[in-house]
Amino acid sequence: MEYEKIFKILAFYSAFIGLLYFYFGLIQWLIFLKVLKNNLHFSADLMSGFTLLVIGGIYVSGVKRLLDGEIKGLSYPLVATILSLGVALLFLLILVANSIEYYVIGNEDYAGWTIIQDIRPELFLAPLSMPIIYLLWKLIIKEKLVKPI
Amino acid sequence: MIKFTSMTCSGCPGKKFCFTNLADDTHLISTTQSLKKIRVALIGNPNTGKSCIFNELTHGKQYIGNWPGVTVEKKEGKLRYNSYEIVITDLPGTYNLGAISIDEKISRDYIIEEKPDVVVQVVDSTKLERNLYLTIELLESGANVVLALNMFDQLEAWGIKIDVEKLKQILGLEAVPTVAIRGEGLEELVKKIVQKGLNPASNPIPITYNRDIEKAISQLIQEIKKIGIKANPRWVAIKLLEEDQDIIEKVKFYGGNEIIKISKELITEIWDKNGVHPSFLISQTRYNFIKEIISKTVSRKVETTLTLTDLIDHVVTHKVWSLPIFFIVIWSMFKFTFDVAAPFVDAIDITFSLLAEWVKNAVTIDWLGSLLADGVIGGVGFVLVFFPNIFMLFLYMSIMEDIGYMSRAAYNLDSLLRRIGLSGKSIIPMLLGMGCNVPAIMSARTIDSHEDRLVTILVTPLIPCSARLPVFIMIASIFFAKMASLAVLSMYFLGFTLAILIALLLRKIIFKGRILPFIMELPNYKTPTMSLTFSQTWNRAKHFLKKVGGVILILSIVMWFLLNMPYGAPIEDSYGALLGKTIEPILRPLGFTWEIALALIFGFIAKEVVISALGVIFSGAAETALVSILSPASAFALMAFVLIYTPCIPTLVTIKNETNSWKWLVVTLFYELTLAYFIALGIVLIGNLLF
Amino acid sequence: MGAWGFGKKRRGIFHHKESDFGNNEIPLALLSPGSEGTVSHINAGRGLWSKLFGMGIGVGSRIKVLANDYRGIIILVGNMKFALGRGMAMKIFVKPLK
Repeated sequence: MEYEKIFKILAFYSAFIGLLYFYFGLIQWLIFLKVLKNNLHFSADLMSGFTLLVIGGIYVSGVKRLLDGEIKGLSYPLVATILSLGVALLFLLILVANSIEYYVIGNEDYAGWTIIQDIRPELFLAPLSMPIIYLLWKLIIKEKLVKPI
Repeated sequence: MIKFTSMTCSGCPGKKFCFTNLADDTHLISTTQSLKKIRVALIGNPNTGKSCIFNELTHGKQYIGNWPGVTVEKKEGKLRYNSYEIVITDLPGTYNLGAISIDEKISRDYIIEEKPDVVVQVVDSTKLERNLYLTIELLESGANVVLALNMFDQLEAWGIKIDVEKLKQILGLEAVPTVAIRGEGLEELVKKIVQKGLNPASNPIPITYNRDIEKAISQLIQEIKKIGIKANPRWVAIKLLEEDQDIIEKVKFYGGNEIIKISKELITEIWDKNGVHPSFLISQTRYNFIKEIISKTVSRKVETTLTLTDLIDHVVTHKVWSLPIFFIVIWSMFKFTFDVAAPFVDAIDITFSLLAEWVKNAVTIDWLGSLLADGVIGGVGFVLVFFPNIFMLFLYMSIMEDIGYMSRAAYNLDSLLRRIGLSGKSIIPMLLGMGCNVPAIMSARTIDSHEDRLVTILVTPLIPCSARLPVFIMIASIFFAKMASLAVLSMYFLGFTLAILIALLLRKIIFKGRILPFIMELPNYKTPTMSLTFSQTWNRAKHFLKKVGGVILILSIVMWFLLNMPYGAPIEDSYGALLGKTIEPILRPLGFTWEIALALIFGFIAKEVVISALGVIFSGAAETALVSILSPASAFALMAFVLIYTPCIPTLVTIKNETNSWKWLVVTLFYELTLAYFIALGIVLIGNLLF
Repeated sequence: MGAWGFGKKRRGIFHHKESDFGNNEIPLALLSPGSEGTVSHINAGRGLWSKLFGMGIGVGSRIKVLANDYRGIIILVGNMKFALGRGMAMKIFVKPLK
């Protein structure tokens, strides 16, 4: 039915967003390992890069199954999106916490902190998963391809 | 006379009935009316929404404590309905009333010994057949059971229908469909509780075992009636045939040694005749009986479509992705606990510092001012400063548990950590310990096995916490220049290695508990109920403060005394320095002097205090002083010593709190001091040999 | 057994055929993902029995294996999902359904 088309869209979009996450994860690692120069003063740490790589990896590993039209293929964009949104929420909270430290409390440890420091890939990549959420919602809630329990 | 009826009470706007906590009587019209007390025990399988029901009924106001002598959380609450005061005790979630694990023991003992007026079993209606096993055991024990058929709304999604009336009829008990998260069915439940509480008609459970077993039961009942044991004789007989060790002990206690002998003979008879142990036959009969009940009361549309849970699990329990996902979850927990709580921690810190300053200036008597400011206010602030971190940690763990991830994490990790003799969930405290040992030790609550939990708690203080880091950095940068970061890293390596080794040692030698075969239910994923989570977390964190706070405060004052008395004297003449000088001889082989000993004593309060202590002791010239006193080997030994020697006071108190005894606090103190000493000694000896 | 996807190298314990065991029963640990069976026997002590029965797994339960790897087995009993360690899965014997 229509499903095949949606699966194909999901496959290509997963590949796209997965590679993006992968790219940023790699950058984080390269900056951390001092291979690349940190001109924009990104916050780059090992675990953050790891997270991005894993999310990218999950997206990408689902592509083949999605192209084959397997229902189980849906798990990959599903879980990757959940993870990316979870991590985005976390960093949003940290952003807010840091702002409070800087503006409200005026903590010296935070002198020289800027909002830029806290705009991380986890945050700005997350909205890109909107289309995936919509497609998954359509398949699962509306079409009931999978029991929403 | 004022009549209380189920109408909206001004104290609980929006609530359909007056659920008040009787300790907080502010909005009651009259308190002179005496209330009839009904004692209720809440029991049920894990993942049935029992906490939600408890929370709804007690209106979020609960007393959280510990069951005496063990580390399992005990929750109690009250509610008033009409002229009745209903006291509810929340028992640990359990699948049956055997007495293998602590949770089962606690639940079973409470029901048999405390004999609550009503036992409310919370049931997951979509998994009725499994939940009924516990129901049967409850009925056999003579309990007055009311079923809360919770999650009733989910039956539709699963295509299941339950004939509730028939179920009540066959089992001979009351059953109320409820949807706890929406508050539905609760009033009906409370009504039935009151009804059953006032008319405890204990119905005989219509289950009969096979002929041999029934004969054995009758025989045993005769004997059991002769001794003074306070449980239902038939139930005791069944338990004896099941060779329940706990009950055997209790029967012996009441002088029933003969009965035990007879029961053992009967067991052998039945075993020979039927080829299996009677306990197996008994369990199987219950199981078959339940299947019969289900066939008569439940109809199910069997569908085999995948569920959302299945989809998510496909990746979460994936060969490749499960561990990376776990690390992401743990790292997030770390960041959430420390980074997001940071503003609150700093806010509290600053407030108390300002307060202390103000008090110091305001109080004219010098030493009193110092005592109040540094000792008392400092002490209190010190305790409160942990609260945000603990709150965040509990919140995160609670949410993870609620959505259902924890069981998957346990499964993923368990197989790996089994080989080192640790349970899967032990890794969480160890990772959290890198931030602060206090919340790390508390996170050990998720570990199911008693022994594993204890071992994990004892080993976690070895993990280098963030307070030790400044000390490492300071010493390393003074003595090791280019190699400083390597030196610091080696401390982390040392900490983790020691933790694993000691854990293995403890497991092999002291806690020789059998490693239980692993089986765990994987409940469906669900969205967390935030109001419940928040109130539970708040209660837990509050409870922590109460228990831990008092002791930390007292110890802070003691430390203040040691370091500031006699008042006005220079630091070399304080009682603390005296103590340091007394200890010095022991520490000399390590290359430490009394000043270092004193700084280490300071470190007892909190590890990062060692730095400021050194600053004060050496009047600001700590670096030059240290270089002249310590050799590089001794410096490295000092780092190791600070890593291992004893957890800070808050950690020690947390250990006491979590293990519910002073014993383990003392054990940790001693083993860590000894370990620190010998490792530091070893480092010095090897260092002096090599260089 | 072909559904394993382990590749020819990793046969290990999986080269047993079902007929190697008497009575047509095999330990749960040896069932491949997707297969089903009814529990015929539990090779364990009292404590474990009562725990399994209490959780809803008894003689006669119909089990479907969802996953099986070095960590353990994930099974479906009715609408309940469980994760078992390998050790535990070796103690539960099932009669496979074709």
